[in-house]
Parts: sequence; C-alpha cells; structure tokens
Amino acid sequence: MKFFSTLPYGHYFVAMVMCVAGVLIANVLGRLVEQLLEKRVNAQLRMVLGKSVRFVIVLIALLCALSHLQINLTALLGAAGIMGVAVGFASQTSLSNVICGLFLILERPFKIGDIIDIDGTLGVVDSIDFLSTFIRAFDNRLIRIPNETMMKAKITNITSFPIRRADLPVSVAYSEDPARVMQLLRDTCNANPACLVEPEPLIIFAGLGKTSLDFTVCVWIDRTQFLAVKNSLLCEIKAAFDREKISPAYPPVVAHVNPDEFEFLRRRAP
Amino acid sequence: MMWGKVAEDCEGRLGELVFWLRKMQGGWRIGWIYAEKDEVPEMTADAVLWRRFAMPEVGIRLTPVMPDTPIVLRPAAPLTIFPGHTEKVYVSVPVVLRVESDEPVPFVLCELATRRLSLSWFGRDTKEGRMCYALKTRAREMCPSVEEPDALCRAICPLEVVNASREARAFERFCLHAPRMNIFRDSRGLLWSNRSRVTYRGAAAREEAFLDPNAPDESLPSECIAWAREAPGGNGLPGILNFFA
Repeated sequence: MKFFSTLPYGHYFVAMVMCVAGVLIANVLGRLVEQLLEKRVNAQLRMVLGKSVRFVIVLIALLCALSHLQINLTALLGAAGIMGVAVGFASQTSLSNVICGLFLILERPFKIGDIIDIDGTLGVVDSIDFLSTFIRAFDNRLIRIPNETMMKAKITNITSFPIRRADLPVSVAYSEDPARVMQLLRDTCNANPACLVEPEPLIIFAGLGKTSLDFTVCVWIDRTQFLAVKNSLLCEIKAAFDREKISPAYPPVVAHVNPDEFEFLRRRAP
Repeated sequence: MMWGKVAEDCEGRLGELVFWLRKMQGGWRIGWIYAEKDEVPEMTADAVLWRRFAMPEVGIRLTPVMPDTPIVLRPAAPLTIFPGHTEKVYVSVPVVLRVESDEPVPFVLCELATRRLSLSWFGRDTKEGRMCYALKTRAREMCPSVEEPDALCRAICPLEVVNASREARAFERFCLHAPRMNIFRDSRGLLWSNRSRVTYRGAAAREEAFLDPNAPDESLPSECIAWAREAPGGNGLPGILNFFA
C-alpha cells in the first residue's frame, strides 16, 4: 500500500495512457504491416508478422508504463528470467508447436482453403495458428490438430494442382470382348465434355479377375468439378453398358451335390 | 440472321443450342436445351433450362462472342510445314450466344455456347498450364462458304503458320487465344475473327505470335459486331506457355 501511496495520481494516469496508447498503436501498426504485406507474402505469414508487431509494441508500452511508475525493471527482468526457465520447462510442447507452426507457414505444404488428408482426416484448412491448425471436416466438424503433429504426419494436399485424375475400377463378365469394352469406355469418356481431352483418358485392362474382367478408367478432371464429373461418368458408363448389353460381373455360385446324399434325400421325400 | 435487337418472343437454333426468349410483364424468360444435329428437342418443363430476369421494359440484344477460354485446336491430320514456308489455314470456332439488355445500359443476362466443347489441359505438365477448350479442326486451306452447316454460328479465324526454323515441323495442335479476339460480320452474314500469325523459330526459341487487330482481308467489307473480352496486350500473347506443341 505504501508503494502506491508514494507516487502522485498523475503518474498512474500517465502509465494507464501509455498502456492504452500502446495497445492502439500496436493495433494500427499491426494492421498496417498486414496491409503492406498483403500482396507480398501469404496469409499465414502475414498474420504471424502482424501479431508479432502487436506483441512487441504492447510489451514496450508496458515496460515504459512500469518504468514511469518507478518500478525497478532490472529486478523485474531478473525475476522474469528465472520465471522464464520455469515456464520454459513447463511449456516445451507449446513452444514446439509454435516453432512447428512457423515451419508450416514457411514451408507451405498447404494454405488456408486447401483440402488436405492428414492421416485419414479429410477436410478444408480453416486456419493455421501459432499452436495448432484447424481443419473443417466435410460433415462440419472442426478438428484441431497441434502443429507438432502436423509436422510429423503424412499430409496429402488434394487441391494443390488444378487438375486431378480419377481412377474408376470397372468389371464385366468373362463372356465380354475386352476390346469392345475398352472402346466403349473410351467413347464414354470422350463424350463427357468435362473429362479432359488432354491428358487423354487411359483405359487399362487391369487383369483377369477370379470372376470378372477388370478394367481401370483413368480420366483427368478439373479439380473443382471432381466429384460431380466422377459421379456423372459412372452413371454414363452404366448407361452405356445397359445400352450395349454388356453383362456386369456376377460372382458365379457353383453347387456340388453328393449323389449318395441326393439319393438318400430323394428316398425320404414323401 | 437473328443477331441484333429482339423486342418480342422468339426462338431459334444455333448449332447444338436451341433457345426460347419469352417476354413477360416486367422481364424476360430465357430457356435453352442442347440437342444433337438433326435431333428435334421436346420443349418439356423438365428438359429445358429456364432463367428469369426481372428488368425494365426494354428489349434484348443477341450478340455472337468468342469463347471465354483459349481453345486448343487439333488438326484432323497433323500439318507438316517445310522450313521457310508459310501456310495459311482457316479454322472455324463455334461462337457463344450473348444475351444482353439493350438499353439504357447493356447488361449481360447470360451466355450460351452454341456447341459444348470439351475441356483440355494445355501445359508442359500437369502442374503448370491452363484449362482450355478442345476442338478438332480440318484446318482448311480454303475459306469456308456460307452454305456450310452451322456456318452462321461459327467464327472463321485465318491462321498463318510460319516455319522460320531450319527443319520441317509437324504441328499437332495450336492454342488460339479466343478471349482476345473480336468478331466481324461480312456482307454475306459470315462471322470472322482476327487474323493470327505464329512464327516457329526452332525448339529452343520462343514462338512469336501476332494478332491483327483489324478485320481479315477476306471478310471485307465487314463490321465489328463484338469486341474481345480481354485487351490485346500487345502483339505477343503472354499467358500461353507454348503456342505449338
């Protein structure tokens, strides 16, 4: 109480003004930095730099205010150093996440808005923060993944390139002519305007299955229409098979009848 | 021909596109369907796509415009040109029907392709390049005549290919930068686009492309009825990775 009573009230007012002004200046400068870097760096790095500028200015303002209140900063910083060691031990994971977050931002394996698959979790990148990355799944769940986990995980960026290839497995009965089936599949791909002419569709005779002739239809599609075209193409292939009377592959069921048992059953029948 | 102002109900067919324009109280309704050649489509509620536009009591205007995306042209037979030789070919590109309000300020209501072109990727690999339309062409030496089917809904593009290299070169495809081309109409009603000239100087050198801003000589006298979607941007055609392939 003695400490607070030794200074005139004006000092407290000035210190408060310093803090408020610091916060205001930090916000203005942070926003200015983000605007200046808008076309030069990506959104994540811009956000990190903006936040860093804000943090530094607020810290400086706070130290100035404390100094104005005649608080011994050397002692405070010494105490902060000891505290820092303790906090450092306690916040190893958080620090690791922050550093991993910076690496993710600099390496740019994905950006906000990309669709990524991370160890089976599929969704749109919602934000990349200091500690974690948020993924919005397609069923509208928000998934938080620590940046350290992101760094270690195998990430597949589905929307990195403008076009994608869809591989569609198709099977028909053994009685069908493979050359005719392949031609029909090629014609069906060519008739769909959304299947890219180039790279041209690839029809692969994948093999002689146990019960079917197996083919793989590889078509290139604009990534923004991927699912719609994949669905429509499968419907068109089915329609073409129906029209041309191509039999689908049914697994054959062979029943072996023991003649002795058959005779026994026949005798018992009324 | 149906290009120009429309004040009352009308319907028509341009290539694969069959369309209906219906004037209503306080606007227009535009319906369309795509049908194969010689096929008579049925105007059923399910089949026809309709769009309604609430707008002042003004007429509408039908204008042919070039497609909004570059077109990769593939000659039916690869064209081999000897060194030092220039070949002039005519390719015809299906135009897009633009429906816009007439007055006071032209406002685009919709654009309908007269033929649904397939998409194609044009680039060195699947990482870099751009999406284009694909079109097979006969790349004829003779100028198309007005009697040909769909002649009035296709824009004829004269294309000069100069082989300035030291070796004979087979050209399998060309990329035509359609959004930068105007449309001209000649006295017979045929549609024309700007003359293009591309010069090949060898595998190591970059191709030179030139787009003549004026109407081609073959079309004269003609009038420009639709301006290019994009500014020409000089004689070169940046944005095209490889003009030839």
